[in-house]
Amino acid sequence: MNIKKSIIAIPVIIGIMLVLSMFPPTGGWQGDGTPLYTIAEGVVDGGVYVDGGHGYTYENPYVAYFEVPEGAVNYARLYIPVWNYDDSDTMEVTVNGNIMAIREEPDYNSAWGVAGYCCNVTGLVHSGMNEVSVNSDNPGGGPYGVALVAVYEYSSMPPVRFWINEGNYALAYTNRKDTTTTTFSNSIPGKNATLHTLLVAGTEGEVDELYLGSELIGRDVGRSATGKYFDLHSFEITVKEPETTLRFERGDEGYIHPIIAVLVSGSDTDREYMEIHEQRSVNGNSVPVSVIAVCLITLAAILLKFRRGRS
Amino acid sequence: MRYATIIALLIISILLVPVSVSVEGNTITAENTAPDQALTVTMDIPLNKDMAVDVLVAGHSWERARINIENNADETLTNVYVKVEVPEYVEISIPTQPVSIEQTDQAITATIGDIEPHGLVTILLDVKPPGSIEFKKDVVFSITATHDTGELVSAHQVRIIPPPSWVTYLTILASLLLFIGIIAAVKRFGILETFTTVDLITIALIAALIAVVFRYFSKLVNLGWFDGLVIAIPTVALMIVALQMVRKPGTATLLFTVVLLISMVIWGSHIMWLGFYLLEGVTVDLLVLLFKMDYADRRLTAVIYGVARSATATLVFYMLFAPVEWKIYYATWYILLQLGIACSGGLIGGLLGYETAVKMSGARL
Repeated sequence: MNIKKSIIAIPVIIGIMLVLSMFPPTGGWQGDGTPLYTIAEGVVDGGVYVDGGHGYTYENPYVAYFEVPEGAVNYARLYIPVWNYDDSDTMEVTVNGNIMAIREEPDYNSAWGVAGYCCNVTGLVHSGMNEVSVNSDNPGGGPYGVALVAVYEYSSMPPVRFWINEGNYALAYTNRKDTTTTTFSNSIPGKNATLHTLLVAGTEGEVDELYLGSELIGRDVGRSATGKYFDLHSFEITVKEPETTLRFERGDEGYIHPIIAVLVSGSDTDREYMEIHEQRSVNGNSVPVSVIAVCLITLAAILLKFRRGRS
Repeated sequence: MRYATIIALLIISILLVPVSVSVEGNTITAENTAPDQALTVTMDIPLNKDMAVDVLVAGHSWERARINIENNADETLTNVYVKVEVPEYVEISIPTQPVSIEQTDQAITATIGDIEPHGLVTILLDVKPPGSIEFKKDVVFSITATHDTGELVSAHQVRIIPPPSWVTYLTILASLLLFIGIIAAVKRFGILETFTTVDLITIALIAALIAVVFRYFSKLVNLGWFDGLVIAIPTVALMIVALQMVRKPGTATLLFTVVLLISMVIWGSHIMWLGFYLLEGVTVDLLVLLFKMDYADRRLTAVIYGVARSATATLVFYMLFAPVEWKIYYATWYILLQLGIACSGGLIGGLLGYETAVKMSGARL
């Protein structure tokens, strides 16, 4: 290549790459997602059931069973994280034979199609065996798993304080997000507690870390232990601060998405209550700037050519 | 006549690839040891029918299996128990399910109770193959179903395949060699010098259209099994346009390399796809050479290039990247189906690209 060509071509190619790199992947597709926040909290004489499985197995329908302990289910929420969500994908959820409305939009979307559907299934879930079936129309994708969080009341049990935090946040090398935190407000120092976390897209051997305050409570938590790319784990902890902060560190993981964190601790009051917070809306999808930019450049090139052609 | 032979050979070789390297075998065996026709016992693993039946890849995570026990009789079968002896090579976990199951080491016992006439009961198992094995291995799940009036013993064979590490290394090596070869050829024959600045900008622009615009549009629609066509048709059409407009050896390789570079910047695509993209381009460029520097100047060559590109992309994806990266073997029928769809996309894209390029002839930037 002669010097003249190089002088023109190299800056042009570098320029195009620079222009494209100005639009980070974070804003390009589905965004970073929603950090976990408290959707429900309260005190109940009973407990909080958290269970789920069983990984990205490509099956359709995706069937999961949940055996909820004895008691009256006051509040229940179903979580269905999926891979490869595209606009126009749909999902139909059936709980104990009751078909819920077909879902078109996920509740939380992030990265390159890791989406989270949340369904309020209070009234549909009962103590004993429950069947959940998910029928998804998602070519090249499907559920990572199904998880159920159910607050049940059983009067002979002591009161527990609980927080249900949900979201879907992309910790990935591509969007340069390495950490995310979620808090459990007004927690009670000194109380023993159980912490449940659900992460998806974790890979065994890629070490991530989980911190409660400044204390490391888990390494390589996202390791596909409870299913392919699905990690639902429980930790026995002691609450130390009046505001408990849980921190997910990506570490070596290429991608990892915290989906839920549920804290259940002893309560310092017998007064039962439940507070449901407003669900945070998903940012609306917009056409990525890079797509608009390429379309405009192409249009300009075509117009330029035709203008030259006429002259 | 010569072209017809080439096309015929191309199609035959494309179709032979997935059939010849199929990993599926005749793996289901059922031995009815008692004259009991009342029960049918089958096992499904994996549950997705698109995947190769009864095949697990070592190093794969948990896979769900389902054992189906069906009462074929017109009478209720009472006190049905099912015992499954799981081969030592695999780890099992019993998920929550309506059937009561007990696990003792590598054996599980399911207490089913009664099964109504023509009723079906399923048992779910989560199965994890070993992290690695040296050679492929056939393991057997022994299933014994008993009831008050009979017993059925059956064996279900599952093939565990080593992670195709040699394929991984070979792929990386081949990609590197291909890349080095291309660089050497570019330097030796001064190929890059043949590209004008306008050629490079044309390629960059077309690559940006493929990598940014059409990839984005492909995420907006859902055509089920035909979803791949949304990106395949414009990719092939634009590739044909690029060939006709640039008309230089190595155009397709350069085009797809730039597509990958842009995809890495915009969508976060991994560098491991380099070999995948290079191979598409190299295939088309070799065909251009084979057809004596015919830059899709005829409908026929445009279609051949389109089909060849699509077939290469599909075969490499389903037969190399899926098992290597995701440790999944797709069923042969599914690969052939996708191959057929991809080839039809290549055909449509080739025709569309040819017509577009003809209309744009003289419209070089």
